[in-house]
Amino acid sequence: MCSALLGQPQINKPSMSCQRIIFTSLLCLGLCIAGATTLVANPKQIIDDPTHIEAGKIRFAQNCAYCHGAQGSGGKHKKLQCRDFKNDYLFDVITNGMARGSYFMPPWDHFSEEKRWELVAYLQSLGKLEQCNG
Amino acid sequence: MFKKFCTLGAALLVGVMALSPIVATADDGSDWPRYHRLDNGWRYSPLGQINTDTVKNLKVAWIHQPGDIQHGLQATPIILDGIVYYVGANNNVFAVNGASGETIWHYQPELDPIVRRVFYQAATRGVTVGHGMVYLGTLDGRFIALDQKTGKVVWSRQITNLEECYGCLFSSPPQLAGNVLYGGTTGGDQPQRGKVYAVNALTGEPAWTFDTISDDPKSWPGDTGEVGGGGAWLPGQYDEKRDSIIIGTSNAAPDFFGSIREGDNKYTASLVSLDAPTGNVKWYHQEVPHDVWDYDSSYETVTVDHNGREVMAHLNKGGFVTVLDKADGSVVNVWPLSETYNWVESIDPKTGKLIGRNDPVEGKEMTLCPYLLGVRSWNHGAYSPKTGLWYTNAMEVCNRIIAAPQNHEEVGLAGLYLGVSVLEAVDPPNSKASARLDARDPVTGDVKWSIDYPIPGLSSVLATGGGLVFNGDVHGKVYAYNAENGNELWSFNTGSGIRSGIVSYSANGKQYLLVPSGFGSHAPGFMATAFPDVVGLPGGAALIAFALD
Repeated sequence: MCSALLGQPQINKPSMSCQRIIFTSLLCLGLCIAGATTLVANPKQIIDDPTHIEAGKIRFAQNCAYCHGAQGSGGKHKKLQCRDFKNDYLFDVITNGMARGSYFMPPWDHFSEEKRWELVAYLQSLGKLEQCNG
Repeated sequence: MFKKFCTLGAALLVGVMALSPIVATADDGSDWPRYHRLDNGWRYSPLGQINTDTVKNLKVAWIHQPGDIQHGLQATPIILDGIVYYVGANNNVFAVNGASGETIWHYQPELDPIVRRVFYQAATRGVTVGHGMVYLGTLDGRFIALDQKTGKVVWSRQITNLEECYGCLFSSPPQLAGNVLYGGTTGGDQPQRGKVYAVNALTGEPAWTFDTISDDPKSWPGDTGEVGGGGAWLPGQYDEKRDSIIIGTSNAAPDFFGSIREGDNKYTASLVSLDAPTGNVKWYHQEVPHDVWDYDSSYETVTVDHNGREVMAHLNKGGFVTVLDKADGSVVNVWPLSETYNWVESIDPKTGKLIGRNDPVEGKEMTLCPYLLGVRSWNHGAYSPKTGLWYTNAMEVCNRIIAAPQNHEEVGLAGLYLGVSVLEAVDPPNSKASARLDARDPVTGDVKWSIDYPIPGLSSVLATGGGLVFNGDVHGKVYAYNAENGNELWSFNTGSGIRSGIVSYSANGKQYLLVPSGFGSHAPGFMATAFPDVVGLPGGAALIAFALD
């Protein structure tokens, strides 16, 4: 099957690279069924990294601010500052979008996983603003 | 022989239908046959049963709910012979008995799943009725014609491909110009090349396409036009006398980063007159050459008589009203509706030439006024021939921006190609963000009266022969004012903000005020830092008819 998929002549036994392809495909399929789980090895490294947070800040300003307000101050929906979000929840919503009542958010899955985690990183940084302690 | 006879017969029928009037020949005010009621852009109902004396007795007559509240209810209904035609969220089209509110028929197309991935989701500004059909521009890029009596599909034509043309969907009803049906798409803020499309209204066969992006390399160097934005996302207006379509085009993209598209970027930010049968340009006036502020020219024109000349008053998002001769597009006057503009020093009132541009500079933080929603959002004004006044919402808000390059290939289907690294609505320099409803002379801009609003009104205004002006706010209150002096005479809380067209019609001799209530708008996202109370307003969707006891 693998050879047919790769457009190569049929062989009796799958090669090692073909086995890896099958394994990875099955893994991806399993993860897709499970939900918007990431293939980024360690998202926490992105979330805590100032360079990634800064990249997420710019991406937010260019793509998210016109609905969520500048710096997540709120716009169509309540503000994103000083909230207590779970990383996976944010990643899932950014990836798949959401619809609730009159509100909707389109999916942003055209961004690579790293870029989506950078947005998560920035959003989590909004929970640590000085005004959140007041 | 029989085939030739049938072909000839069909051709004759089409010809006769083309000559048939689209609207009732006697205008007694009972109908609201076109988007602005008539193509003069007045949004004026001549009915007077509801007037300055009787308006206090208005009561709810009926309510119709489309069921889907996603992004509210943003349509201007059409009413013909006592039947209301309107569209709710996600292209749900209804024909409703205008006296009782009962559904006559309901239609919803099977929408392509791509509609869940775009920026301009769910909302449409109305349908168009003519030639025995109800016309819909869909969220997935089609024109659909429904039988006016039954709501069954007569024809359907795929116009755009949203996978290839980001944002190229119809958020407004296509309009009729004789037997041409035409409309432009959204997408001025997205990396695409916007167009106005026309089909034969009777058959759906393609008629012509007007490219709002000129192919002159001096206007758009290299391939910048391919992602130059443009389009025309609000309804055009038919000049039947001249068989012309007057339509305003979108801004150029990337909105604030113009150095990559040096040139005048024709025909963005322009008012254009197109020959209705062919789509050829008869004249154009580019209000904002090389637009770098997101100042669309998409809004309505208001035709009035001025010293024996037919002129049009036209508001650009940048806050200036240009008054043009309807015959040839020559400039008659230019006056500022904005009180805090700083993107230019002024505009020559005789030529429309910009004087003293204040362009964004890459990497430099600047405060530019008005902001990207403009001195007014797309919600239309209204004109009363009785008072000679134009009634319009207005707001004074600025942008804090830093212009920055943006890779258009990274802009997704729902992304905007704004060319900024910072974008925030802020107070004007030396004053606070504010909003109001103005009554002004449309040719000179002289103010007759003005009412402050705490949050900008996002509803389209209605003026009536009963001496009234109706406006709605974002909380859902609809107000009736005395058209002469702005005194508030009546109000009603509809429960969710008004982002639609308030209209009036009569059925069985009774006048109705029709208010599509239900908040949904992209505006809060852009304006919340200047008007924090706009955050989290409740959604809804209900078409509410009022009448006197």
